[in-house]
Amino acid sequence: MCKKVLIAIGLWMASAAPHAQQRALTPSDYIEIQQLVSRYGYALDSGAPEGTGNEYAGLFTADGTFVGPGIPDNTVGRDKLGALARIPPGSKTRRGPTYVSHYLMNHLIEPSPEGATGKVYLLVVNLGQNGAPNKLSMGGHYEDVYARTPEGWRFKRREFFRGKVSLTAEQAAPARVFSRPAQTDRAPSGKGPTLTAMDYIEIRKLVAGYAYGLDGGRDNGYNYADLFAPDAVLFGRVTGRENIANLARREPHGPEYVRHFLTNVVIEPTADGASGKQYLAVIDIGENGKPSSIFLGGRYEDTYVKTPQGWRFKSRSFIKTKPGTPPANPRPPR
Amino acid sequence: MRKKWKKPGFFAVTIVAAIAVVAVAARAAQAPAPAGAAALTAADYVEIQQLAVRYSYAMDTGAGGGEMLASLFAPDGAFESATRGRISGHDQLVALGKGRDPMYPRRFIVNHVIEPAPGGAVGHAYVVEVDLPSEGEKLGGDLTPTGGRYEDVYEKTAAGWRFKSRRFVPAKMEVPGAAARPAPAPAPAPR
Repeated sequence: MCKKVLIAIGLWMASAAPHAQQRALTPSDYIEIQQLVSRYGYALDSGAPEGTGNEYAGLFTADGTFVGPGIPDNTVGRDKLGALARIPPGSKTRRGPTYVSHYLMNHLIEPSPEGATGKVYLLVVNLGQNGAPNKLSMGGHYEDVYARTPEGWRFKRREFFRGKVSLTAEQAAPARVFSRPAQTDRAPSGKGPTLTAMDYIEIRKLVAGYAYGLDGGRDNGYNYADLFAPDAVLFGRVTGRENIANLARREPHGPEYVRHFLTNVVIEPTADGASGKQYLAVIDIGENGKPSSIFLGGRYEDTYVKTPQGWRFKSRSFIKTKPGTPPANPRPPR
Repeated sequence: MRKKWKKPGFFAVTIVAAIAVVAVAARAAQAPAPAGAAALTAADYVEIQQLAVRYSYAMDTGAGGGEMLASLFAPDGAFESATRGRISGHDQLVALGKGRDPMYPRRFIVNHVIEPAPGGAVGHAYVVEVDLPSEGEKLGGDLTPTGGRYEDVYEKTAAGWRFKSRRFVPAKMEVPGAAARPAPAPAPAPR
């Protein structure tokens, strides 16, 4: 009798387990999908490698598709997707290795029977060069379908929606209930250096803490300086706790001040720790009813080291967008 | 008759050792929690990140007639700002969250920091509001004068992580060495 019950339980578990595995997302899944979406802006804005658009195409599944205003209906497969990010030789586009424009924020991920779905806000910023003003060019949101492939998580489908759109029955539907992720971390696998889910989370925290340290100016700048390892090099020239704290003291700051908006956080394991990059928009929030404005934008490139106190910046460089001619007619975002 | 203790095999020893290594590694990887606070797992961080992101969608879309926003707060949770005061309870939160344009992105939230704290977790994030052009309008958009920081307290409820409180703190600049600036007018509060 007991044996029959055990066999029945075993059969039930065997039949139930695959469905449970399909639906639940682990913390590592969430982090990998976050990283995929963070890579999108870099791949599209840079056309990497060397203007081929192949990096952009590689973010999609082999049968992946992009849908959006101004995009051909049959944009399916990596050849056609790569063409969206390609920079033809001699092109006058501002896109290139140091160009930043697609700022993606508010990334929401949901498990789904096929893998996962997501939504993310987009701001397309034209950073002015040679004294030209910075402008918001476009905004809206993406709706995504993600699929797990042998290469990792990829876009199965991405659709862009501009600003306000008309109400549909689906959009007016009540909020969905959030499914909690499984409480398990996937063990790192593969050769070479790896990072745990917790490492990614702590490095993201360090990156976000940079803005608070610099804009808040707490503890006479030491709150900012202590984000860096003792031998860290900032912007290729600033070293030492006191000099780094001085840098924070010279910047506009205050306990209720916000200015450095960082997003598109990409993190990679390295032999010595990790490296990473983010998009930066320095936004002066308007006071006394004045409009806010984008003061500066570009990209940070970092290396990180794990110290006894936790992850710290080993180096940080700022890459300004390459000067160029703004396009006469901004294209819809991809 | 007493059963003879059998020496565990190589396989059993390996399993036990592997579990011990994983447990120690997991503990070492986590950020130290302040006194009286339980450490947060990777899953806790991920879920709180997702909660904070849901806030933008709830507020900007008015989903479920405001119910989505209310569902993000603990039963005794509250939103607070200098201009709106304290908004708490299901009905008040529903009223706060309804009446938006569906699928209209407006609140861009970044730099989210999460820390373990007694009773759950605390966090803060930057927010800037953007008025994007409507469908059919010319390309472009405006940064509104509304921006600042959210100061959050999170609580783990039976339904998952929820806001115990969210407070909006408008941006205020202090230029080092500059003469005293006139007090700025309060910025319109985002919700």
